[in-house]
Amino acid sequence: MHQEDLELVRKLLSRDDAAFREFFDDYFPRLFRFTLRRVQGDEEVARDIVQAALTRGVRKLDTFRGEASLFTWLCQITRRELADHVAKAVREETYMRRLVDLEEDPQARASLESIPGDSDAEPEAVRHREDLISLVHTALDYLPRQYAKVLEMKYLEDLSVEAMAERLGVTAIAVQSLLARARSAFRDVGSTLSPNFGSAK
Amino acid sequence: MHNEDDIARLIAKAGRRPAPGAHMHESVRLAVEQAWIAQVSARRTRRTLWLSAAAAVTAVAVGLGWFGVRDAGTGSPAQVATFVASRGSAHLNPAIDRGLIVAGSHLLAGTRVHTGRSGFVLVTVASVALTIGPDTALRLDRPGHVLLERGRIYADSGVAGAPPRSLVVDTPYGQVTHLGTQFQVFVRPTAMVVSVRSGVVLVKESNGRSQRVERGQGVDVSRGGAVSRIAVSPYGTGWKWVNSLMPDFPIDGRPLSDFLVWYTRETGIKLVLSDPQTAAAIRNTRLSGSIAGLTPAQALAAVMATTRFEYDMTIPGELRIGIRIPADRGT
Repeated sequence: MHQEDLELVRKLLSRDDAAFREFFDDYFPRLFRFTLRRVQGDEEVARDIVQAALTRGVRKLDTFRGEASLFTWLCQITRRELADHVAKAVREETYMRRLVDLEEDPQARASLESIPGDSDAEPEAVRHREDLISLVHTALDYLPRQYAKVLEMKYLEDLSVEAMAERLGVTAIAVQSLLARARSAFRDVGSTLSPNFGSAK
Repeated sequence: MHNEDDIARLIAKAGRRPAPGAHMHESVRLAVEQAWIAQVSARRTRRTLWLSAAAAVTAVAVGLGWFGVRDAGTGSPAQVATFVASRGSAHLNPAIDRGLIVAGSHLLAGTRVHTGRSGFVLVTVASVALTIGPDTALRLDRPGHVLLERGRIYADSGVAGAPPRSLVVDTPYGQVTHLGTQFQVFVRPTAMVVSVRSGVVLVKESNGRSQRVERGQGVDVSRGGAVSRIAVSPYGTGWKWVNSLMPDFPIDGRPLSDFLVWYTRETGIKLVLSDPQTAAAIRNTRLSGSIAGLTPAQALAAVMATTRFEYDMTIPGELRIGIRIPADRGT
């Protein structure tokens, strides 16, 4: 059972404003990244999908049982929104056809042609690097918030254990323990996401 | 399996995780927060009703009367519109039970909009941009339906960025159904006037008869039921009020042709290009800056001044564009 998530949901259901801020500030960016990877980087589409998913999520909070983590639960809702988005695009084929018709208009065609296309000649090394970055970011998103935070403080901000302890309001020993658990969880999540994660350089 | 150095290298190489911009973060937060508040409030109400069976019957009756339409899945009032902007004296009630209404706020079924003599409100309903004019009383009734009790509205299905769904405007004189267009409805104490700038609307009178009204046409329905057809100019003073509050049109990085299409759409004026060279040139001219807060006329003057084109509006209803001839070549 995900007790911390259940506690957060309990606070949300009792209309705790601080809990809502914590909930939104934590989950919106993670779900945004989760969605962005699935909509070819279209930020506006990702925003609409995540907004719809979070809206649906807060309406169904009382059905959250804590069997999966809150992030996993929200990802499931987001996947349904993504599926609805795709289904809607198919239903709106007529609308798309109108767009195709627009291409016959010289003015519209000129505008459409000015949109830069994806480069086919993307070097293998660049793609590999992007895959790796995406993998690391996904692994961090799946970690409990404190774990991701402490790993980023350590390896991106290069903070000392003492500085991290001060920022988190805990002892240096607690930070070291947290870091050890975070590293272990990062390895586990990374390996789950990709068998090659261990050999990624 | 990684050792600590591997993990350090991986995380450092990946860098910071991308995050949504502050503006996006804030606008989504507001939308989700309102859904959360509405849900928690509804849940509390349901719990109170459960605990107090005697009071429940009355409370449910009042609740249904107040909110009108509820989301079947949650029992919450349905979201029927999105607030975009307002100007002057404008009042929305009740949108939510707490908090400010800002751009992007979802408005719930039953929300009433009242504007004063200088008030304007812009919302999107069913992906249609709806401008609510001065001295107007309107209720966002249910998804895709608004009730216009008095005053004027302007609907434009071409600007909200998504395929429009059906929008129905109920009035004391009958029903106006939008079929993909730009039109306005003006409800006065003695009559209703529907004017169509582009596309088609269907006007269903209270006696059940329907009228199809097309571009350049209008109908005047009197309180006594008399219906008369009128000719409507797609531009001019009758439409000027709709430009008092418009959706923003970002021009930065876009071709001049996009701006001119927007301008002619907002004003109903026809675009006439002097020659094929001009047509090609306006597509290749990229704009920079912003026209936020400007009227279409001000925006036109500001934008054209930065280009090598000149414009002429001496023929009513036409905007003529040509390439400016440099002074030294004109002599």
